[in-house]
Amino acid sequence: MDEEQMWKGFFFKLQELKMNPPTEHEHQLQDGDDGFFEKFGSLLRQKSQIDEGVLKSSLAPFAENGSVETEESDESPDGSSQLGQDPECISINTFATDSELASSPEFDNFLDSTPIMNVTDLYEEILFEIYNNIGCENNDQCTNSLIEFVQDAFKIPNATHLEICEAARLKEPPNVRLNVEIIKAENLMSKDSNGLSDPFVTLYLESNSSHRYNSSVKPATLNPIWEEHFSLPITENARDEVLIVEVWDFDAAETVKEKVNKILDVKGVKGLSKLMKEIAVTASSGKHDNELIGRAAITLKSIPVSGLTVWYNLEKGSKGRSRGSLLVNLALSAEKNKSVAVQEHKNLLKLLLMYELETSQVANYWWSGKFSPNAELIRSQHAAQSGLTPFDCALSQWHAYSTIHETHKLNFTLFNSILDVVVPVITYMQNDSEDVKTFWDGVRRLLPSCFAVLRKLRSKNTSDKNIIKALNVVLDILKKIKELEVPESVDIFPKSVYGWIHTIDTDESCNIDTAINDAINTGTKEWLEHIVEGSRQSKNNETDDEKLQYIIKLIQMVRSDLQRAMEYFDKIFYHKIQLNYSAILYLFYDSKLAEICKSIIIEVCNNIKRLDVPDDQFEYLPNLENVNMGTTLFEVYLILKRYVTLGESLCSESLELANFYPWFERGVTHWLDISIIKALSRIQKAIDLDQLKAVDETVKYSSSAVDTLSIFYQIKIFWQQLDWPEVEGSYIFVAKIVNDLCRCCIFYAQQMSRRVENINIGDNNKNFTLSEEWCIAINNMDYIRQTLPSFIKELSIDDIIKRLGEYRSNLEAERCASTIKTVIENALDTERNQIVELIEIVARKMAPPIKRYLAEGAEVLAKDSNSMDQLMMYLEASLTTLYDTLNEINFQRILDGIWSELSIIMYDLIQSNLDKRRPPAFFQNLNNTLQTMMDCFKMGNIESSDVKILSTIQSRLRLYSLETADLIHQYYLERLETQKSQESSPYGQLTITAQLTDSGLLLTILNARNLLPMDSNGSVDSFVKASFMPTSRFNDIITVKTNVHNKSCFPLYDQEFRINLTEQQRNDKNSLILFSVKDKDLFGMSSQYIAECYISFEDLEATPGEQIMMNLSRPEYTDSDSLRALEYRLGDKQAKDFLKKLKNRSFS
Amino acid sequence: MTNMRPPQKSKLLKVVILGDGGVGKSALLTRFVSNRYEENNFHTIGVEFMNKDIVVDGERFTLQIWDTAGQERFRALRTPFYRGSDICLLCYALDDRDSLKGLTLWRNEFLNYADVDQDKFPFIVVGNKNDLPAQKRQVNFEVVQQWCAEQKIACHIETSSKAATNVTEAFVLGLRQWRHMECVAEAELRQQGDTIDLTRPIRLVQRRICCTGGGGGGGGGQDKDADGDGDDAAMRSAGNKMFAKAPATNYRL
Repeated sequence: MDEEQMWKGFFFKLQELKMNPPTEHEHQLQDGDDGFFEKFGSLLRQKSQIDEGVLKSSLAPFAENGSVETEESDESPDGSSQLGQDPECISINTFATDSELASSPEFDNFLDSTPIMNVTDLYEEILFEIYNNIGCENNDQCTNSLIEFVQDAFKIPNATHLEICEAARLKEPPNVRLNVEIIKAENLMSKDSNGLSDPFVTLYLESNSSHRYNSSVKPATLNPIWEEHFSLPITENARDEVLIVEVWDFDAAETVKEKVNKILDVKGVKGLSKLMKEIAVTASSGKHDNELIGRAAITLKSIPVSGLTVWYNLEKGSKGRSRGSLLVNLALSAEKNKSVAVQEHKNLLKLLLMYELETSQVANYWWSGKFSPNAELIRSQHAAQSGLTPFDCALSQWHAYSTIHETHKLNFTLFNSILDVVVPVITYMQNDSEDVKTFWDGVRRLLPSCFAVLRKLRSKNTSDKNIIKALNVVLDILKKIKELEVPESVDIFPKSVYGWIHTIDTDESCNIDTAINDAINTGTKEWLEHIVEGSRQSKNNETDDEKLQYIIKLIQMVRSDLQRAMEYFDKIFYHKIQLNYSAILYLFYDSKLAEICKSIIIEVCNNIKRLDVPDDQFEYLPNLENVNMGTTLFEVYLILKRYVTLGESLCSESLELANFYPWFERGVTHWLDISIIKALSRIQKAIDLDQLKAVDETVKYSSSAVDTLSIFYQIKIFWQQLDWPEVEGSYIFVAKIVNDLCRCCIFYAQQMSRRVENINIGDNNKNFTLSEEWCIAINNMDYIRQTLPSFIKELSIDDIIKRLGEYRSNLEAERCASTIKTVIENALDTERNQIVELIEIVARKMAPPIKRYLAEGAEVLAKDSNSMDQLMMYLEASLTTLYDTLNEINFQRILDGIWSELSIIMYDLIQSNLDKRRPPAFFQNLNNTLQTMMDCFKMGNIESSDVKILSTIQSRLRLYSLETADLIHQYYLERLETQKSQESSPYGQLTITAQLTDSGLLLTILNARNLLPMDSNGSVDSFVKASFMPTSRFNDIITVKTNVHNKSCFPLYDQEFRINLTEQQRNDKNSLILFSVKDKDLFGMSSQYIAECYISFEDLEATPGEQIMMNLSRPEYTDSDSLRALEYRLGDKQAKDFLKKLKNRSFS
Repeated sequence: MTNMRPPQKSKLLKVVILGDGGVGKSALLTRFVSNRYEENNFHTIGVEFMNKDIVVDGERFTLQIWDTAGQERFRALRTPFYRGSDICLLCYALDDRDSLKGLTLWRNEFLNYADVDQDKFPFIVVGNKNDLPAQKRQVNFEVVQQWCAEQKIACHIETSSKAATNVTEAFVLGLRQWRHMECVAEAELRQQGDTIDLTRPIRLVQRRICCTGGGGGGGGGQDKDADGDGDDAAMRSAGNKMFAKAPATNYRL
């Protein structure tokens, strides 16, 4: 299986495991350690992701039990409890009120600041106004209800009331004026030849038509804009008066050009209006041909006290033709001292609002400027009769409302809309003006509650829309205010109120911006203190795990706070005042959390007890009580890591928490210890549970292999999760992990071997049956071994090495790389050796039956037995199992193993049977059996040293199976081979010619050279004897001899012999002729042996008739196979005689 | 032919080298394993690992040597590698008096994390940079001897990685010391044989012996190159057995 395929297979398996619910098997497996790896790896990852979601929704606003809330709850007991039921009456009172704020409201206090005015004076003024109401709303019934209302509002006792009533009634009616603003006209009828008009407006009261007011002339337009103000005094019976407004087309005697020139001559505004008036007067006096475009009549009764802006259609006569329309603003007012009026208005507003709040029970933060109709009527009457401008009114409101706001919170939108009116005017006012002072006074009163909103943002659930609304408005207000320049004389941040501003005790100036920042930080601080206290249960005897849980909870809460900030508030803050709200929060949390976490984590890490990691033999599971703490610690790590990632995306500043990881160094080593212990124990368990059955048909490994790989997989996930940011630490940890993974691998192999070795124990009598389990075990080991490198690859070691190279130097990186490589190679080699060992064990176990069958099969007596068949069946069954179950590599390995065992068996068998002097037939049988087996094993495919060994065995068996005569001949053949291999000889050479003929052999013994001197005179008397071998084949042939040649070491024999041979004799190629050269002794009694040489018939055929020179030699008693074989046949006379003769010759 | 499976067995020992940064631990290791000396000064990152086969008194050993970084910042990171050690080399530099003082801390750190019996563990004190001229020497032999005596450490040797003196000797010294300790432990075991937990296999003798997959018939298959080049390769694979062993503490009762 190539690597890729293997991986695919594995991941497919893993995928399958994931999709299916955990099986019984997995449960058993995980039971041992409570699903440690799942927890440490993927589960924890999922959990940390889910946690965020859960927390977001479950986090309740903390305010309910916060201490800041308690005093407020008296004021609005209905506040939070009704929240859910009636959205209309939600109060935002929870923002409320700082304890620093002014204490309980006293009704009269409002007026203390206005010594010139007392309530009765104001009361009289208001009654007076009611009696002299102006505007359309006026009627008697209304007057009465207003008076009642005012008496109630001002809380005037009846007696006093009547007294003041009388005084007011007697007062002169006020001088009322009609204020008219001619704003603009549209779609006027054209009166001039150019299709346009030169319109101007004339207005007068019907009762006094002689007193006319004229506007300026707008030349050449049908849509003039005037925006001119007129103030018409109204005398008696103002109610019945009618205002006439006329639009005229100006047609001067002078040309338009002259007029324009004149306008250019005019200097100053007064001059211009003079000119315009002049033109108008002449126009109305009829000196010119001015033409009326249209007119409108307005009864003063129709004008409400608060004034009226309305379009009037222009009419002329009864013609219905449209002559255009005119926009006019009409308002009635009384003449009054301005500053007194403003003062009155402020106080009136306060009184009215107090009454309003009192009677309607409006909750805090709820009143947004809408008075009851009576109050509104009184207010507008006062504004009108005092001739107050919108700005005056707004500033009065600003003052009055901000004062009341100090005790009873009003809706911020109210202030925001007032600011819209006030700010444009204030901007252009002198800093020392009374209005500016009033304005900033209001600001000073209002700001604390604005900041309170910022500080208490967390006190409400974000599902409460009011908080968003309130924040929006508050930020609007702050934005508007901070764009204004604070006058030097005004201190808007009094120390007594702003205790929380961090610069308050220093000389540093603070402005709205810094105050916003401080408000946010203070709020954050209070929240943090709250959760720090709230989530810590018992301070003294917390366990380490509880401490870590505390951190987790803390960070999760902080994180959810940030999330809420990002989700709901960031946009608003940025949009309104370009503030990165959550970044401010994060920076605040950063240092605080760093402080808290660092001390706890380091403390916990220091408390970690070193684990007793078991050895590889693994006989006990160490006590792992603090393993869960390790898991919690890891959870803290992950959470911190994610938290820092969040911070890095929020803030550009460098964060203290970003350096959190060194705190965990000891933790990581602890986790790694836990991992290895857990991994080892789980591997042990996986192997115990393994049925040693293939997981499915497509693969040849069993469950424990898959289980073990899934442990590796979880370790990998752990490593990926850890994602240690610092490169040197990364390397060391990964080196440790690699080391551990390797250890697991080896451990797996060991345990697997041990498991399988125990399977057939106790079955010594029976043949070892090679079961599938053995093969599966071998495959498992091999599978794990092959998977290891790719697993390790996935730990992104290459990347770490690369970063090391960049961080330190290539030299160091290379050393690290080679360390990892060495560790892995070691493991792979070790595991391979273990596989090989197991294979050898299998082979060894198969040996005894093989041996028995072989021995039985070779027995001559048992020739007819079926031992051979049994052997073949046994081998075939085993090999089939092996072939079907093992993968190819291991199948080859096991074949090698069996063969090497077989070699030993054969060797032993031969040796022991030689010792028993078995007849050649025994060996013959053995040889046949071996041959059959070799065929069966398909030897051709195997290339190993064992094959050579086996063929040696075979050739030896062949020798042993020969009859003695054949064996002797074999010896001679060996001699011939030796002779041929000699280059020279100390005994000299013999030359012959020989030729096989139709009837026999024609042999000529020619000469000999360099014969060894045998006699004392240094010479020899030699002759040559030729005999044919094997003797059994040449029984009828007599030995031939040459004559003796005296005293010559170079005898020339030159004697021809004709030997008759049968055809059969001639055709035996391995027949030999033995030439013995002998020395005839003096007395001719016996001859002394000099040397000998051989030639085979085969050689003769190759060189018919040619001279053949042969080296002479003497037989030596060498360690030859055939001699040794003969030696084992001491009971055989032929062999015995032969050996005796041979010995004599070689030692002579 | 009588024995077709050559019994190439070798014992595996885990060696840890400790000592202050810059005393020459890595140089010692490089000299021992590769017989090289690198002039340029580099720092070990965390841990380093090498194998070395060595024959001592006719017995074949494979040393698995972990070299550690001396810098304090690696402290928490390197300690996991101490576990399962058989021999510990405590290194100092002859020209650095402080590095000798540091050895006490190193020894304690090692004892703490390696989980071994301090009286039965082979520590070797190695004074490196022996090649320096006499005037640069700050630590003299007798002082070290005395320190060793106080700590009950029997072996002390001065080496030079640069000049290649006594480097192999230092490791051999460690090996012999280890064997000595093993014999003592074994003897003690025999004496108190009755108290041995018999369910645990006696592994003292055969521990860490592995067949080398290189010889014989078994080694075929995929690692042909490793098996191909004869004795050297056989020895190499003999050495690659780092994990297959029991810890030295197996028999503490």
